[in-house]
Amino acid sequence: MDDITSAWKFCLSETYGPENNSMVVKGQLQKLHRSGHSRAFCLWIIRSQERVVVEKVVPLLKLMCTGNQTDNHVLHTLSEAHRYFVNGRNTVAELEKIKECVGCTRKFILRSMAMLIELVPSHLGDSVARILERLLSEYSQTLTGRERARRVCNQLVDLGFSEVLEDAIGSVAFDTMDSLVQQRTRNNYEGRALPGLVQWMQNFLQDWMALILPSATNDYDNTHSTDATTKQKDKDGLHLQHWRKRLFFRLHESVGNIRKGQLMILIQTFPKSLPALEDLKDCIMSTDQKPEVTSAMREQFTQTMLNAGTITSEILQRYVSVIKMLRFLDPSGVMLENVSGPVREYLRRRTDTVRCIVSGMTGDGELYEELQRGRRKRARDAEGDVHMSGGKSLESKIYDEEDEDCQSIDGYYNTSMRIDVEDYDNWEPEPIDAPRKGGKWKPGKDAIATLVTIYGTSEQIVNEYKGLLADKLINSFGLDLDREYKTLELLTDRFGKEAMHECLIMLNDIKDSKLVLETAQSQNPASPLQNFEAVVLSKEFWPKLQEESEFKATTQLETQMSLYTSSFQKHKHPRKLRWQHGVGTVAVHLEFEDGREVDVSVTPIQATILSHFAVKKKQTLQELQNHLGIKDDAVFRRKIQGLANLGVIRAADSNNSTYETVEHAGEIESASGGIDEENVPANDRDVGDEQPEDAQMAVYETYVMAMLQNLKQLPLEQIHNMLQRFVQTPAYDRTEAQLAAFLSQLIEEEKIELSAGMYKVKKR
Amino acid sequence: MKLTINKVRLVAAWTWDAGDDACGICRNAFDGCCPDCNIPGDACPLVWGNCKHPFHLHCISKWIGAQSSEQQKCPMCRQDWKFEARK
Repeated sequence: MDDITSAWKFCLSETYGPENNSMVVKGQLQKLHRSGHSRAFCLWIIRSQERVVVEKVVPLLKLMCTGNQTDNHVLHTLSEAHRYFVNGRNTVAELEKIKECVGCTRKFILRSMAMLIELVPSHLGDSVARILERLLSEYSQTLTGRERARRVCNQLVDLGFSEVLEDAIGSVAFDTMDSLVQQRTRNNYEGRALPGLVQWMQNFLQDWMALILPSATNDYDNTHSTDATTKQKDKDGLHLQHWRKRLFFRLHESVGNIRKGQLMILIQTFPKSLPALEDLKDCIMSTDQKPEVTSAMREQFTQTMLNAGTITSEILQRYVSVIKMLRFLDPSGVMLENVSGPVREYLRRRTDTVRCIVSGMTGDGELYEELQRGRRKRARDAEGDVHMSGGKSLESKIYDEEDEDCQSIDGYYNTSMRIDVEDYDNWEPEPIDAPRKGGKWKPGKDAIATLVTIYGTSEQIVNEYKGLLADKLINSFGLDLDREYKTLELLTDRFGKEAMHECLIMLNDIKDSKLVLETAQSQNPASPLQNFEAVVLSKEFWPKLQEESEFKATTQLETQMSLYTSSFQKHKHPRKLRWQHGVGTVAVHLEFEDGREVDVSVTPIQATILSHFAVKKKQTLQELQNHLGIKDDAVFRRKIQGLANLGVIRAADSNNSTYETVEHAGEIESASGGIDEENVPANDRDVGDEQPEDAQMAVYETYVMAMLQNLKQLPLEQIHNMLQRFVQTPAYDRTEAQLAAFLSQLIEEEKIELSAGMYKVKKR
Repeated sequence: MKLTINKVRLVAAWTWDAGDDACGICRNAFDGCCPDCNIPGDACPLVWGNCKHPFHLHCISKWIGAQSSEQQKCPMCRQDWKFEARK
């Protein structure tokens, strides 16, 4: 009995406080156990430990949460609280050995947790979140930081906060990840960000979360039966797995969101921006961002590019980039189709689109490359070249994919009409998100096909090309005929032989003309046919040329023409030649009295006129007309005006019937202004600078109004271009800004109106 | 002002100078080619009969070929068809 009393006494005095000596307790415990008091004793011990929690741990944690504490202080308090708690827990764990007390540790932990948790939602969140954030950054930096983070995390886990802190942990993880994503993707378009981020997430973030999230490694469960432990492990593993998925998704989503905002830059720097696009592609595949990216692309492109201030060729160039990008992001072509709608709609409204497409395809630009790729692909197929996709650069991979789709455009149109067995076998259902606006879904096309189909058929493109080619063949010196043949060949691949037939004949004409010229030159060694080129047309196959009446050309031209004619008629008997005086180019070099030297290209008629001026500085129109033998006054005046616009001759009297050469450059300014302006007294002109300008602009009003009436609506740039092209008397020499000012004046006068960058006739 | 002509590029169109615009048989332009040809000019030449009527060589040959030998007449004027030698 005494033993029992002293044992009680001993326990009462010793077990209180963290410094208890469990070995001694054990001995005394034996005595109590033997006497049957063990259960009461255990309960008492547990109570006393719970009191420790209430009196020590809780106040410490409360202190920790009182706001303005430094991180170090918080950490210190935390570890202090942790020490008390773990001591208590260990003391209680000792009791597990007594049969009646099995499971008491768990109960103890749960009860004390319940007490602690009351603190958490209101206070613990902020300061702990701050600590967690710091730990996370330390965790990923140094080894010691890693150790420290591990220790603190263990403390938090031991105190049982892992489950309640889950939200805080999650938001810390997300915040850290988001800021890292920002840092790695901002201003980084030419390198991939995603793989590095994924690695970081797997190596650090998930590790760190595993430390602190509820998991099977929590050792207070050690004492449970194996069954329960494995069950617990599964559950906790699942917990972490969920987080893994959430992190993965969140990472892709935030990378996707940032890339989504960078689309315009990616378009502008394409194809350098391919790595960034790869990021985006992965993001689209791992998240549900495809519709968002599609609409972002559409909006950004529409806003930035589709306005009156952007020239058509630039829109086209960017659009080609967009086509390539979208085909890379989404090989099914659905995204492209969805983005293209407004772009194509807009391009269709611009009248110079066809010209830009054609000059793009025939120039040295990207579209020409596109044309060539189609051909290269075919060549490779012909060689039976099988390539391994493994060692290839990303770019070539894209292009290979695209090459598969370089089909002839006519083939493309016909496929829907034909019933083809092979087609039937290869049929696949339409993509589920394909736009359904009537008609059949057309799968992804390459850039050329996409551009050409803006107009529904290739006819307009072909015609434009024909016109452009004719113009080039007629007017350019030293033409690279091989290059033209090559371009034609490429276009034939696309548009078919039929459509390109006339162009082929045009090129052949040039080749034949050259042959005739070479023979003629070789037969007359000292021939005046040096520096002479002739184009003999099969006129049924060329676009209609401007007809112009015969005239008596200057001797040099006359000799050259007759030499060439005789050579031609000798070789091509019985065919005859008819010279087309309306077209052709003569490059002349003019030297004036003031030492000025001017090189200009003029028509044969104008060259002849100039040759007469070279003989006599001042001539009446009548004289000149007699020299040339041209009867039509209007035609003749137009030619003269053209020369006046070049600044080499000017009217010498008030009714424009006499012209003289401009021998001194200083005189040009006053000359080009025309007669009307010369009549205005000089001082008047200085004062009312705007007045005469308005009066002059008014001349163009009729042109502008007619244009707008015929073509419904036009952007500024185009009005400017058309005026430049069509207005000859007086020649249109204004800047776009001046035109804009003039147009806004017309708007004020309520003659026209401006909406969305397009000018229209105001309806009354 | 002194003038030097550096380069000249003039344009002409060839013609068979057949007067009438279209072949009486195929109704295609003389300066074009017959329906069986793609390339105009020497590849699809013009011929004249003694009656001075011109046709695409391929057109009139086909026409003559379809007639029995005593009935080879110009489709325009029904005179006996003889190729005119033009030199």
